[in-house]
Formats: sequence, C-alpha cells, structure tokens
Amino acid sequence: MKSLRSLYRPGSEMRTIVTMLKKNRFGIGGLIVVIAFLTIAILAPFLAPYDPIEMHLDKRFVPSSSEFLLGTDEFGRDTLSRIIYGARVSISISVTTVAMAMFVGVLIGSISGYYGGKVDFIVMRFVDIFNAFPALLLALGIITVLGRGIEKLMLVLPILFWPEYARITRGLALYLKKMDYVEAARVFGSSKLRVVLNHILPNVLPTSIVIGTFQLGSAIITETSLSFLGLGVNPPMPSWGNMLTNSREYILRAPQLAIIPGMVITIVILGFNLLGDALRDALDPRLRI
Amino acid sequence: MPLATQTNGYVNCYMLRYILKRLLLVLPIFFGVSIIIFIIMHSAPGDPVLNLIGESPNAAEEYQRIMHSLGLDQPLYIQYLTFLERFFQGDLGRSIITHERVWEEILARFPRTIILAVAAMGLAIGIAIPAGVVSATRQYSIVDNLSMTVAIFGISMPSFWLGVVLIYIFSFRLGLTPMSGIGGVEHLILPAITLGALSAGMLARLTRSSMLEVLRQDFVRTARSKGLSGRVVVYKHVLRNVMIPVTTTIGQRFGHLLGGSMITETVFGYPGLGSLLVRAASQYDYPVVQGVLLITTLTTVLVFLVVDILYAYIDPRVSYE
Repeated sequence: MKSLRSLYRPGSEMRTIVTMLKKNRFGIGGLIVVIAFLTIAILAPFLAPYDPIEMHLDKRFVPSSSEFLLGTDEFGRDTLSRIIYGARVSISISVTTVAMAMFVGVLIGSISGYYGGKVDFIVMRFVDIFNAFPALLLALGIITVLGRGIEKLMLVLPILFWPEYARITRGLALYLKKMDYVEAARVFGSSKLRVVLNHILPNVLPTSIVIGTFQLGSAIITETSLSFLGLGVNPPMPSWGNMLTNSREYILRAPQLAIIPGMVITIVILGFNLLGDALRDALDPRLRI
Repeated sequence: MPLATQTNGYVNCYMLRYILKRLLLVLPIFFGVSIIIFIIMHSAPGDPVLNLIGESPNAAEEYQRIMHSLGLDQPLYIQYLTFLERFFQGDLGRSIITHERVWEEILARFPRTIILAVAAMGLAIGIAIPAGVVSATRQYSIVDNLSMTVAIFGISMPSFWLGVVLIYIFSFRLGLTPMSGIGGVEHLILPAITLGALSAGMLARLTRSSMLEVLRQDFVRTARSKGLSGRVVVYKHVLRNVMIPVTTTIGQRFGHLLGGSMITETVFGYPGLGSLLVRAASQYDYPVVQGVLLITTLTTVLVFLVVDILYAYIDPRVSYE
C-alpha cells in the first residue's frame, strides 16, 4: 500500500493531496464543482430570487425568462429557487449520512480488525448481512415503517453506508496491526483500545476521506432517488429528486422541468466522483472503488 | 487413467467441502436478513388488531381473542419462527390493499424483474469489459479518454433522470420505442440501458484499473520478453487475472440491480417486483413490502453464493480450505 509509506511522516498527507491535486485537472474541476455546490447550499436564502414553495398559479409552466431565469413548474414555482434550496436539502442529508456512517463504520472496522478473533468474526457477519441487502430496498423497507421526511432519511441512510467503511477499515487495521510501531506500542504497555485510538484510527483517515468523498455523491443519488419515488423528502419541500416525480406527465409541454434538475444532480455527482478519483490517486491508489 | 481419476476425486472432495462451507456461511446471512426484515415489519406503527375490531361492545375480550388467534400474544421469537415456517410453506400473507396472495403476486412479477436485470447486466458486461480492456491497452489514447468519460457519466447520472431523458428522446421525439409497459424486446431496450448504465460505468473503470495493475506485473514482462505477441499476453495471461475482481463486482452489482430496478420499473411502468414494492411502500402495504424484501434479498444472497463458487473455478489460487 503506497499511502502507508507516508505513515512515519505525520502531516504529509495534506502536502501529498495538494501536490497531486495541482497536477490533476479533473480533480481541480471536481473540487470547484463541490465548493460551488456547498456555497450555493449555504447561501441559499441570499441567492434564491423567490420563495421555493411560493406558487404563482397564473404563471405555470413559464419558460425561462428574465422574471423566472429557469422558468416555473406545474404550480408556478420558480425552478431556480427550488434548485438552490434543493442543494441545501441534499447537502444536509448527505453530510449527516456520511459523518454518521464514517464514525460508526471506522470505529467498528478498526476494532474488528485490530482485536480479531471472535469480535472480528461477529462484526464481519453483521457486515455480510447488511451487504446482502440491495441498498435501496433496505431503505424502502425502513421508510415504510418509519415514515418519510428529511429527518427520517438522515436516520436511514447511515444504515446503508456504514458497512463499506467497516469492511475497508477492517482490512487496513489487519494490515496496520502487523506494523512494527503498532506492535511496539503494545509491548510498551498501551491497552488495545489505546492502540486503536492512537495508532489505527489516524492511519485509516486518508482512506476514509476518499471513501467519504464518493459516498457524499452516492448519498445524494440515494436521497434524490427516494424523493423521486415519493418516499424521501416530502413535498412541497424541494428536493432535486421530487422535482422530477411528475415530470413525465409534462415532458412534452415543459421538458426543461425534467432536464434541468437532472443535469444539476449529474454535475454535482460528477464533481464528487472526479474529486474522489483524484484523492484516491493521491492517497490510496490501490483502493478499488 | 487411475492417476487422473484419483486427482479428480481429490479435487472434487475439496471442492465439495468448499461449497459446503460457503453454504454454511450463507445460513447466518439468511437468518440475519430474515430477522432484520421481521423486526422492521414488526415495529410498524399502528395496531392491526385494533383496526380489525373497530367499535365493538366487548372490545377488550374481542381484542384478546384475535390477538390469540393471530398468535400475536406469543413471545417474539415464537412469532419469528411461525413467520419462517409460513415462509417455507409459501405463505407470505395477503395484501392489505388488494387482498391478493402476496406469494402469487411475487411469482407473477419475479421473472420480469429477473429478465430486466439480466438484460441490463448483459448490456453492461458486453459494453464495459471490452471498453475497459481497450482503454487499458491503449492508455491515454482517444478511445481511452472517450470511454472513461462515458463511464464516469454513467456512474454520475441518477437513473431516474436517465430514464426520463431516454423516454423523451427515443419515445416522444423519435418515436422509436414504446414509452412503457411490457411486450417484445423493444420494451426492454430503454429500461435495460437505464438500469445497466451505473454497472457499466463501474465495470469499465474496474476492468481498466485492474488491467493496468496486472500489466505492470513481472509475469507479463516475462511473457512479453519470451516473444509472445501482445494479443496473446492480453487475452491469455492478463484477462484471466482481471476476471477475478470483475466477477466479484458483477455478482455484487446484480444484487444492486434488483434494488435499482425499483426506479427503472417506476419510470417505465414496468410491472416487475420493483414497481410492486414502490406501490406497496407508498400505501403502507406491509405484507407485500415484507414479501418483496425477503424474496429479493434472498435472491441476492444466492447470487453471492454462486459467485463465490465460480470464484474457485476462475482463480486456482483460491484455497478450498
């Protein structure tokens, strides 16, 4: 593992990231898209020209004009404002999801890999069980019972995303366990938990960042997909997914209603994927995602 | 001859043990999956029995009687065992909405979803693996750049949008394909593309990166230096090594296709398991949701098992121990 060569030089990851990103045009492109997306989400109330749920019933299906830059939907709501607020919805759900999945998955994975034995066996069977579920299916089952809405999504999505962290972190912990300095820490009397916290966790961080970047994109796709099916973010709250729910009925009258939100999702996910590719090449080139 | 038979017997014996061991590992997954589904469905809000009796004069007595007749007064693990027993007898209950038997509804739709998933996977494999191979052998060429650009778009586009755009272009604008329903192959083309795009993108990227990794290894240089042509090296030596991670991913993707078919089927009005699940979930039709979840997840587990066994055939280094 290439990234592990830098283990003895703490802080070197940041330098590696910067130098590698400088060389990678696509990575920079991805970074710009991600930063723009975050900025729009944070500044939504200042950027949006209209209230995203305000209806102008006398101005339904208006094509793009100086009054409504991207036109209006079937209720006369401003598409641009809904896209801007939709960014807020998507980012809050995906950041919460990835943060929770990373916390749980990395902790469980490092403990499982480092402790080994029975702990490892049991934890890995749990990961197997969660991996057996096609992701969207498990989400749908839980949502049927829990109900819909933004808070429910923040609860359900981490359940889908933690096993990947646990699996990859465990593999790394198994490897790190055999490193001399980790064994030395044990010999000098550190407790197992202390070794995990002080030596394993900091070294799985670079890989976690790579996985997290890809997962932020996946979480947005999952959220918008569920919202598209009418099982995610509740209307009238705008989500890039539920903006497309009824678009097929109006596709001949107003194809832009389907095309614009989908293009926005694609560009943002593309941004996360390009950035993820660049970070992987810089930090952990052998990681297969 | 005797030697050959002996060797065969030896191999088969170990192979059998390997398969048995895999089967044993599948059992906890099966129970885990069914327990999780049982718990999720059990924690559904609302009391079905209260809904059944409504406003009755001796409600309390009636309540006890129905609870008992449905077995809902039993401890949770007994209820789970009853649920398993019924499942193995092919009894998944009846839909709350349509009152159809869930098992029959699933049986009618299951083959359609499998056909769609196989078509999507076939399309993905047929396009992605050749694209990945060509990209790796001609790294940084126009073909490489082009196919990797298409691939990263494939993994970045949400499938519900891709589906709607394909319908808009090919059904509405060009009138080439029907926009929904089932029938001939023409009904399958757009849904298969929609469902397979993500897998195709992932497989192409994986094939390329695994191939580049294998191409750098010593045995490839040896094969080249002993005078083998590039073609022989690629197809005989490199591709066989690349097939190992690719097969794993194909197996995993197949499970995701069964889940992803929910979106594709909804967009195209395709009457498979996915659209049934979406309908049931939005109407809180618990027995149907439970049935579809069980059947689909168990199918995924079976696919994983098949891939694990295939693995042993593809990769001679896999130990049967």
